[in-house]
Amino acid sequence: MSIFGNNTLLYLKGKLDLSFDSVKWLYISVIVIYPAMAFVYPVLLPGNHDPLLPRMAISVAIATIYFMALRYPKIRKKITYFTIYLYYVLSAHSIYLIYANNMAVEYVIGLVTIVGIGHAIFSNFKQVIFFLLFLTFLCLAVTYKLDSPAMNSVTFLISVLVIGLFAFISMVLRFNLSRNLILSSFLIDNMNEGILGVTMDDIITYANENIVKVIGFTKQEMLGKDVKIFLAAPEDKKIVMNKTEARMKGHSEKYELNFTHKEGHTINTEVSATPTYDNTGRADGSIALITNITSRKKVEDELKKQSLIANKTDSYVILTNEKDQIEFVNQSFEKYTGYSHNEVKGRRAQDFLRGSETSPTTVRSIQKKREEDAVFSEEIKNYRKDGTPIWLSLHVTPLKNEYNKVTGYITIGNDITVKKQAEEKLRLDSFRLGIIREIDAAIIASESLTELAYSTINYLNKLLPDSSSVNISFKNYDNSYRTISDEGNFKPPCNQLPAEVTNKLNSGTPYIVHDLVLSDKPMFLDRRLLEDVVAYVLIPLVYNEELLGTLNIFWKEKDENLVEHVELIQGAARDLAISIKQFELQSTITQKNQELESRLIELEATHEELRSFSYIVSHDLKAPLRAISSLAQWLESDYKEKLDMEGQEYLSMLMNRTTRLHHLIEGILEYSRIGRKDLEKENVSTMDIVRSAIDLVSTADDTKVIIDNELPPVWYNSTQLSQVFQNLIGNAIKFMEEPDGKVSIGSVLHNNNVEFYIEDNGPGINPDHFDRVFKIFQTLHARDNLESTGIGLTIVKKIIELNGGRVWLDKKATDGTCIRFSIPLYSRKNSKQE
Amino acid sequence: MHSDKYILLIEDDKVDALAVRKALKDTGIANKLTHSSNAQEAIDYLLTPEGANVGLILLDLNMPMMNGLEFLEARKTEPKFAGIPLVVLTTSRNEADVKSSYELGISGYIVKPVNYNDFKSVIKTLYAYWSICELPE
Repeated sequence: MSIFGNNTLLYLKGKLDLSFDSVKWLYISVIVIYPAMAFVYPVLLPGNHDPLLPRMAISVAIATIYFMALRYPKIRKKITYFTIYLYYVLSAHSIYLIYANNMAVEYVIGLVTIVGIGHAIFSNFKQVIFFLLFLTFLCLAVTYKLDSPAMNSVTFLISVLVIGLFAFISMVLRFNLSRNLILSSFLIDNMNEGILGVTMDDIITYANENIVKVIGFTKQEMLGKDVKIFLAAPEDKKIVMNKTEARMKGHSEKYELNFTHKEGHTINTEVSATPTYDNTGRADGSIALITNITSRKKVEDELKKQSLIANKTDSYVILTNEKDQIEFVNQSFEKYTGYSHNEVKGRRAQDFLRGSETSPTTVRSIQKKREEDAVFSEEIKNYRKDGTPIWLSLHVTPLKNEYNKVTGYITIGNDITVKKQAEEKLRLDSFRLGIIREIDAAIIASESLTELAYSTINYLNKLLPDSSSVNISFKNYDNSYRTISDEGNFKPPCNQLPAEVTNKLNSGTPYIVHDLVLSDKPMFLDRRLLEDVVAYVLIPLVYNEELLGTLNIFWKEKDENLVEHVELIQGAARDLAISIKQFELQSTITQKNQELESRLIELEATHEELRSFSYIVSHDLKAPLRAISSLAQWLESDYKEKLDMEGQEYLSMLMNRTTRLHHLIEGILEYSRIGRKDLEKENVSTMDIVRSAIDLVSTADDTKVIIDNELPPVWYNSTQLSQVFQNLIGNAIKFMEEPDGKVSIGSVLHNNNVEFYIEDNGPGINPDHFDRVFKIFQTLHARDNLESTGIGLTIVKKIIELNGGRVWLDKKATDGTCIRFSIPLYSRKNSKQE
Repeated sequence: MHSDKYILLIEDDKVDALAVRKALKDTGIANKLTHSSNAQEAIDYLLTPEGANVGLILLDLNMPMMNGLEFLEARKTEPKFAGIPLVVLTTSRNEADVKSSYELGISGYIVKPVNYNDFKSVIKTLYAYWSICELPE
């Protein structure tokens, strides 16, 4: 029964079970209707020979097969054959009834109906022709047994022919017009997949039209050939050869095969093969759906490559869907974040990567960019699975479909923690340096030590937000310490520091305790601090190897960057030390200045007092003196005759002393007047001044006054200069005891000074008395001998010194006295320039 | 000339006053000398009808109570005696005093010589000068 072997329709319907399903209703209806007809026909056609028994027998037989088929798959598999047998039986029964009832039209119609049912049973021409031959034989056999063969045989034969024609036509129509068939062949020919049917020996027994589209060979070129000759590689042939066992076991399989295209190139295909069976249920080959997957394979290879790249690259890659749920992460992602692919699949990266220090600004920015469907890059602080922070760069590209709708995102980035840390360090460093600069600026701008300390503490608190207290201890003069603190309760007892600490500090090295708990050093800090402080540092404020104080910083918690901080602060500490020293010096200077100022005020007051004193005293002395003088004169003039010689002598002495007292008072007045106000200076001709002074003081005695050289003009007050020369020349003449007295006046230029001298050949002055010469009221002569008040030289000295000069006795003068005095030249020049 | 005019001496020191009186007498000046021992007394006197006869005032600067300069200030604003020639006769050689006095409209500033004879000659010269001067009516 090999005619069923390659039944295309059966293949398409799938299993034989399906064919049973299709005839199921046929069986049921025949089982019910066929015996029923035995009751219907006698009523409709009385007299017809149609016994119930054969019908019942046939019905029972069909029912038996049906139930057997339901129960036993083996029979079910063979149902087609049973169906055909039944069909024969039914047909034979119909022919018999036609014969028995002399061509009753009803039975002819019944036969036609049966032939019509044949549509559902026969699948090809061979079966139909076979059946028709059988039917024709039966018809011929019964025709010759008819009662009136002459007339009825013709009719019968025509009937049989008509029936045969109908049957044939209907068969043809069935095969050509069957909707299923049309659809099937339409599908088969139009589907992109090729279909090949092969025998167990791999001989192609079936190929659809489309196979040409897949392999390039036409159906005709392939049919009857071994499928292996179309395969690309020996490996493919091996695969096909190994399929026999699978076919035997009835396994459907899906595998890949490579064909060689007619044009020579290799075609990758995916083969879905199902074994086929012959009518005995034995596997006789397989039918395979062959799909060209060459392009898909290419894409797959590409994807494989890309995925390899994605996996092997150092950058992490995250592929997410439109809801940003992770579909794929590469190995670097796992390496960087510690999360494995399986852990994160379906989750959103932001839900587990972000943490406390993730910048909300960056998060918002990412959110915004996502909403804009934009390609963007960011840098964000995330957290690894183990909680350690990690900085990731991210470059996000939204994936869009052809409708421009976002279907997912690709995020690529790197671990930039090191870079960020460097940046952070840089930022921190510049921040710190900024503060140090501010501290320096504050140090310079501070106007007091306290302000300096507070602003330094303030800035250090800013610099070290983790520190619990910053304070500064200043060493006082008595070596005790004064502490200025941001908090009152920290008072490090620095004056109790052990010698080793003090030595360390003195050498400029900070004293650092990283952890008080671990430290086994003797505890010299106040016990109170123990509870609050874990680490602390004492930074010495050293200037010129002198410890001025310490900068003390305390931490409640351990600070890992402590040493770094200390290094940074040491710079500020140096400036602080300098400033402290400056303030110390400044306060000393200020103190000295204040002292000087108060002394100056005191001095001025004294001076003023003295001045008014001398002035007032002089006047108040003068008035009674004048009265005494007047009264003495009046006594002398009015009462002279009443006094004896001795009385007159007394009166004369009284008047003499009155005169001297008067001179003294005048001298004092004159002395006190010098320098009381700035007298106007002018370019004075010294020659003129000296000449008129000589005229004024010269008496008619023998003393000669000579001017040795041309005296230079000087910048001086002329009255004062006159007074100087009058006094000096006057003195020289006055004290001249020699008969041939000679006074010479001259000048010498010395750098910026003009030095004048007045030299005489008088008695000279004992060097022992040199110092006394310029003191007020000192005279080296007996008062009664000469009219000397002892004030002349004092006045000279005062005038000269007030004008920036100097007066002295020339000790080298062996003969007589030589008085020299200087007048600075610069004052004149300067004044002239003004 | 002006022999009928009074000379008013404002002087607190008796010896000085005596010196003036003596000097006038010794130099033969017959004009009546009126002596006020302080400035206020002098003002009061000058405002009396008799004060109108004063033709020359001799003023000492250093006086208790109202001193000479204050008197000069007062004199400036008092028309009854602002026009009377006034000569300061004082011990003070103080330049500030000299300047202030002249600014207040004095006719002369004489420092009293210690020596009486000198003083006499000063008075004589002063009188001679005054006597040739025209006086306001």
